[in-house]
Amino acid sequence: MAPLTSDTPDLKPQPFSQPIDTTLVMMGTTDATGNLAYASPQLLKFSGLTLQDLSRQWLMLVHPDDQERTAAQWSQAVATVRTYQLEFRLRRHDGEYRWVRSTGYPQLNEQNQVQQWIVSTVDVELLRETEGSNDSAHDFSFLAELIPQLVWTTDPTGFHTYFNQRWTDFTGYTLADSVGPDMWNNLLHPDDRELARQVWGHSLATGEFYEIEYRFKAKQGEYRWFLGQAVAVRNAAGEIEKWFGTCTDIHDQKMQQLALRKREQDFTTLANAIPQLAWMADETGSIFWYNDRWFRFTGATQEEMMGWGWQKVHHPDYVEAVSAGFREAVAQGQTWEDTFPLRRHDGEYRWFLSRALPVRNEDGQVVRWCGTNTDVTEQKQLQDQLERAYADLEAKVMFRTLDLEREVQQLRQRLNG
Amino acid sequence: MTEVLFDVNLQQLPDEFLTGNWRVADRVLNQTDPASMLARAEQFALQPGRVDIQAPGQQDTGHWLVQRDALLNRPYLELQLGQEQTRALVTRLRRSRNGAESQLNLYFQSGMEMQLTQP
Repeated sequence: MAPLTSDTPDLKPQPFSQPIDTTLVMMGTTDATGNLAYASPQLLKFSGLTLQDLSRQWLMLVHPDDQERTAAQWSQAVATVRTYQLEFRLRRHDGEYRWVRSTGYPQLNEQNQVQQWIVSTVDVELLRETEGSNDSAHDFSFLAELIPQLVWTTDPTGFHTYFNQRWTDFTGYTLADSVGPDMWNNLLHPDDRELARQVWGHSLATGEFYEIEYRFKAKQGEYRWFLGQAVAVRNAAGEIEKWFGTCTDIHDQKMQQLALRKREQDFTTLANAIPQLAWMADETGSIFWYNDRWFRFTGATQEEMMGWGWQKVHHPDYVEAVSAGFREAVAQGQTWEDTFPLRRHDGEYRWFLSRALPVRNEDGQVVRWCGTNTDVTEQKQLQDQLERAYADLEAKVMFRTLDLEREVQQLRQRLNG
Repeated sequence: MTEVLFDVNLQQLPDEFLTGNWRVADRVLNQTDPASMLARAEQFALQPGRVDIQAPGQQDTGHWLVQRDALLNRPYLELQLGQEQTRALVTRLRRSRNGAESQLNLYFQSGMEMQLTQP
């Protein structure tokens, strides 16, 4: 997109003014010397010529009475690099001369040299007719400037023909800078451009409703998130006449959504990094979430484990007591703790110390349960070994004591004998 | 392949769980005379009422009985051998589910601890 220059006139529509009907605006661009480089479909349709022919013959389309004046004014404007506005009669494809107003805007580079001219040409006769008869245009203008969205229209090919004031206020780009088939895309965040091009291209090709979230660059330089939506307006024959689109600022919601997603990612990272199996249950004790470690340990699927499915990986000797204990804790709203074996994916049972805490809302009602299962198999084995060693020691001492008593009795018998 | 061994409740230990040919897998002598027959024993053949002990270059034969005492919550063996008479407390017996593999821990009067295995 050409840089915005001080010479670029502000074509932004005034609030509540009637916008120019997109079918009345014919756009074109020329190089620095005035050779036509681009002509909008409306301009080509009006003239009935190809771009190449139009580029060569445009002056010949001007009414003979207006030709000399128009050529002189145009040459002077190009030579002096000044915005110009010319009114003349231009021959339509059907041979009828129509009064048009042609406005040219020079686009300058950083060296203040002309890069191109943007030329908009309006059929003023048609414009007057439309202004006089079309109340809906007033309604459109009123609504387009009233609603908080950026509003735009394109022709059936996607060539932008209108933007509302909010667009100009937000982007800092005038209508003249914004019109065209692809100007809008240059304002998008580089990461969003390709997708936007694809989605928009799909809608243009199919006529389907257009919807996308993307970031537009504000005139201050920062990007804001928008929800872009557009719907095709069709004629009685079902052909697309134009696209009517809006961009709704969803930046704050998007930021909240992204922050929430980040928090969720952080939580998931934490939940999966801790060495425990972790889970959450609703207020009835029905489990609705497990961390990944749970699934890796049990080898079970999410579907199998939802609700009270965890009973499937419990040892049959313990599951009844464990379930009863947990139900009791849920009923009482009290912290739950138990130690029991859980079956690993390979069939081996390992011992877990399990705890769950109730999470309460502001009214003190339990809204969910957060639980963990900590593998204590090694500790339990050590504890069992220690207990056995104590029992063995006690038995050995008793065994030796009995032996001593026996020996004492034998000695007494000998002494007495 | 080694079977999983389960602890046998020593208060309800059937005597026939102790019979068979046991191999000495491990021992801790403590104060026991290392030159004694039992300290050097490598095989114990326990058949009902009869015991045969094999040590390098030596062997001994005798009788054995399973004894129980109300003050002890586990049985002990009364061994009457040709060279000595002693008692050994059964501290642990572990068996595979089918009984093909066993592990017996004994604690002798001398303080020696011995682990026997079958097969």
